[in-house]
Amino acid sequence: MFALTANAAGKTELLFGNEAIARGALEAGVRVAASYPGTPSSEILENLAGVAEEAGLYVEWSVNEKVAVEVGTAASFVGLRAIVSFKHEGLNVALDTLCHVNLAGVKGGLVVVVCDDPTGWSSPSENDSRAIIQWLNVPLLEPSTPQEAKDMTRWALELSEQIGTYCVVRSSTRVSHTTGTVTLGEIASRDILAYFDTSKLFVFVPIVKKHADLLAKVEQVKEIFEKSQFNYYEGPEQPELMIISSGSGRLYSMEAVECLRLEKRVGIVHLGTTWPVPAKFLEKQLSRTSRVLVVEEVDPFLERNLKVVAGDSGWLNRDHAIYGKASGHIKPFGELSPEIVINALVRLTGARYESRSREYDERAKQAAKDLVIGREVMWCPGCPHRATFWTIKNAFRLDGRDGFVSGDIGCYGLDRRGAGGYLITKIALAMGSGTGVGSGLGKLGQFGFSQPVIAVCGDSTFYHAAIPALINAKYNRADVIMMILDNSATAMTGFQPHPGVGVNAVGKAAPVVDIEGLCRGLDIPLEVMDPFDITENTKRLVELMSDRDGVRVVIMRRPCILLRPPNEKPPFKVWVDTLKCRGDECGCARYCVRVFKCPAIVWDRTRGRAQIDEAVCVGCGVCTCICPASAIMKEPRSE
Amino acid sequence: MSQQLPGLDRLQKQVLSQGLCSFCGACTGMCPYLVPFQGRVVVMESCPVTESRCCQFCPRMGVDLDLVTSTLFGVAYSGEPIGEVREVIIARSTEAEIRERAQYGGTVSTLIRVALESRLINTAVLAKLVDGVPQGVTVSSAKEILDCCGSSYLVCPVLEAFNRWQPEDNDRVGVVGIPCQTLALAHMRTSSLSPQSNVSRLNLVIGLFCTWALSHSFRKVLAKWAPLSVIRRTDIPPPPASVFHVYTADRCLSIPLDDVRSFIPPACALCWDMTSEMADISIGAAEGIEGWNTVIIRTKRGQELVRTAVLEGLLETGELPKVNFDHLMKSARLKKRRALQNLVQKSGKREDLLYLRLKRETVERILRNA
Repeated sequence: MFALTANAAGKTELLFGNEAIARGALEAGVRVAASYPGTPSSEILENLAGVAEEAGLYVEWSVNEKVAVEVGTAASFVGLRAIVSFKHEGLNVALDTLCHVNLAGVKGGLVVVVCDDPTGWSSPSENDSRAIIQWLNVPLLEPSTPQEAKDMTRWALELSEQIGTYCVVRSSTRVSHTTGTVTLGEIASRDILAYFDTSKLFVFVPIVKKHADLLAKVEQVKEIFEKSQFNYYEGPEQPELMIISSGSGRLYSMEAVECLRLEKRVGIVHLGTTWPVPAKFLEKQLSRTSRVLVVEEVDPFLERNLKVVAGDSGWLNRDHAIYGKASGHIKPFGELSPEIVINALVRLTGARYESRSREYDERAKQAAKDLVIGREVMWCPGCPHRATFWTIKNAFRLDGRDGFVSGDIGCYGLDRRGAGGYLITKIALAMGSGTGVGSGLGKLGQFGFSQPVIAVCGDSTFYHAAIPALINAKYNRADVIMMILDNSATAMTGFQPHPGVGVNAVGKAAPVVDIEGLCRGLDIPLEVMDPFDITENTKRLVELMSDRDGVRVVIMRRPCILLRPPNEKPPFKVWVDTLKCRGDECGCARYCVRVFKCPAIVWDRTRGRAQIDEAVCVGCGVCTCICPASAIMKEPRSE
Repeated sequence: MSQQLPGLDRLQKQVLSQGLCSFCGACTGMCPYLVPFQGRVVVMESCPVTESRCCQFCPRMGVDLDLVTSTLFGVAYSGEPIGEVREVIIARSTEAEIRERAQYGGTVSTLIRVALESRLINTAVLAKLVDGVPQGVTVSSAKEILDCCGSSYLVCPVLEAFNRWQPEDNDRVGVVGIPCQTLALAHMRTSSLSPQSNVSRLNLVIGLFCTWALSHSFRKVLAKWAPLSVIRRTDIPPPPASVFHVYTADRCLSIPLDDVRSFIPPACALCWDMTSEMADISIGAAEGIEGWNTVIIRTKRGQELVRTAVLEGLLETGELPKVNFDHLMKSARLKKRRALQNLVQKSGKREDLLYLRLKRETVERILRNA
């Protein structure tokens, strides 16, 4: 088994992309790592946390990405190397600090790894981080493989220290979550005593001078990038068409060229350093051909910058063309695939390509359907969120004023996305926004707004970004119910600890930051409910909604069902009494299966009755409250 | 085409969203989709069932009065102001305890008690005030009947309790309800889905006179006058008093009637029945004869029940003075005419009475009657 800290330079190992980034940081002698969890970035810090003690690192899950940057920056200011990592959504949170650190400068190497999520597989957006990095005007590197991910991370830390500003490594889902061979380097030994040199200032003033300094650094980096080993060309000397790619676009391009057997006609430029643009390098590559296709994830970032270079150099004229997203050869949204690049190459080269027939796809789909149990996107059986949203839904219906949930980012978002949700979440923006928007809505009574709003957020989200919004609601007397879904976990991203769970990033005991104490300190009325008490909770929520009186907090507290130890038995045995369940004669129209939608309740077609799937049921017993015929039974399991 | 819509969708479209629902409870207590709550029937979820009980039992959807009265009384609907009548009398309980707690003469409580004791029924569905909220309950003892004495005037989904009731082998039930509820029960009897209801166990219907009821939002007004939990009954004394009386254990409060009228649900204006014409016996106040009820006996079963009660010395009866009878007829006729006028106005067509199916000549006769 590979040890991340193995000092085995020259050895080749199979590494996960994010593991390779962590290894690169270790090779560069990183001492501090900070992050907020989020797919596809979480494993970077998790890997470093796993070796923190052995490698003598300080590793933390920060409450949010902005604080993570500040923690990393603090290390840099005292001469230590630091890595900060988060997903693309986190960049928005961190931006306020990042857009001042670029002016203030750094001392120890500081690298920020941003993991984009094209198509938003695990995200509420597929924003391309690169435009923001260009705006911050700091060096940007884009690896395409785990090897590059490691090497670029290491190099970015050295570069950062050399030029005195932080560098950004932009990964993406297919790089972070790809496994590939990586040749290891030396792990640096950097015994540096942390010391803040009080003769230095890390501030953003005088602003104009600092801005000029930053621009000078960019010029310096530009020259370095012109000779970077991460930028290179592969292919015929004078290609008929040249692909210029970055990140995972490079591998898709290689696959497409190989598939179409265009190796003698099409060359590929891989650009690993994408900001500032190495103009001379690109001009040289452009001189090889008259036609260029740009292949990159999400936005036409590289494409636009290339057009500037091509225009400035005079290359771009009637006989020369740059194809890509603007020309419609590559779609400007969603994740890239080899198929997309193949189709673009077919259009541009006339190469023949017979794609897989639709009939084959249909047959494959049918074969899979026969073999695999269909699973909808829905909450797990026994998930406290199902019970909570069932309660809120019913309370809204009974209230009758068309209430809705102002949602947030977490598993509870499945209410609006999954087939198992109840679709009462009508607003979902960013971390903490549910409460902020709820606070705003809670002040619109004077304009006739009378619908009840419940602003939900998870426990981790509460610490991350909801507290200021709650304070805002209190201060401005907003009429809103904030519901904190405390499942004792940052569940959606993989159960990383947060300030409420009493454990830190490296598994050591940590003080618990008490949500109730915080709310009471703000003098906000607070109630704690067990989500599984759906009948009582529904009544109480209806009352709370009718008492329109400022901000109120409800904590729905029950641990995520996935935290239950595997060897712990379910608390209840749950079954359907087939004498009480009258099936389709009941008149309930399969309420348990069709409306409540716990995956553990299934319809027995043979007997025409509901049935509990014992292999799936976790024995929460909530469903016993929803059957109109009281046909779902439960009894405590004996030890 | 509209028949293909799920029944619940039709109910919502034609009744709930049209202000026709009287909160009788006939559509509730049978499924999880419709829930009575604070004076409203709440649709909790969509339901795909097309032939649904909620639709077929609702007294505000497709009520064919000829079919209903033929089923109950063996005759087509007459359009007479107080419906089919065998006898109209006055009556009161002989028991002081009942009279003290009852709305007027305690006749309803007495007849239910006699019906239970004579095994005509073994369960009764009544309305009861629980912490100021009226709800339907099933009772089977004299004490439980006493706890249900008195009217709150608030709409109450009594038939939810009827639908929820789970009878055993030979159980028979009686229901006390206001006109929309007695009509709903009669409508259930004519429904093709009646086997999926408790209506086959229904052995007695006692109807109450009703001019209008009050929505639950009136509870906020009541609460200003007295804690809801201490209110025993409410009443409207005959004109010219123009007040609404609220009785607690030790006093009577008077709320100006004008403050009360705005809480009358719109559905009450579309009700044509003042005396619960689809009951075995209908009972109301005997205006000007304090402590007595007016009793309309409509069926043989009703007649026998009253006779039993009198024979057992639990009920005393008397003749209804002509002036009272005339006044009853006039009031009932007026309510009928007003309701039909409102229905025509709402539909925009004289031949469209929304939820009622009625012969043209009957409609014209009612509309002509002063």
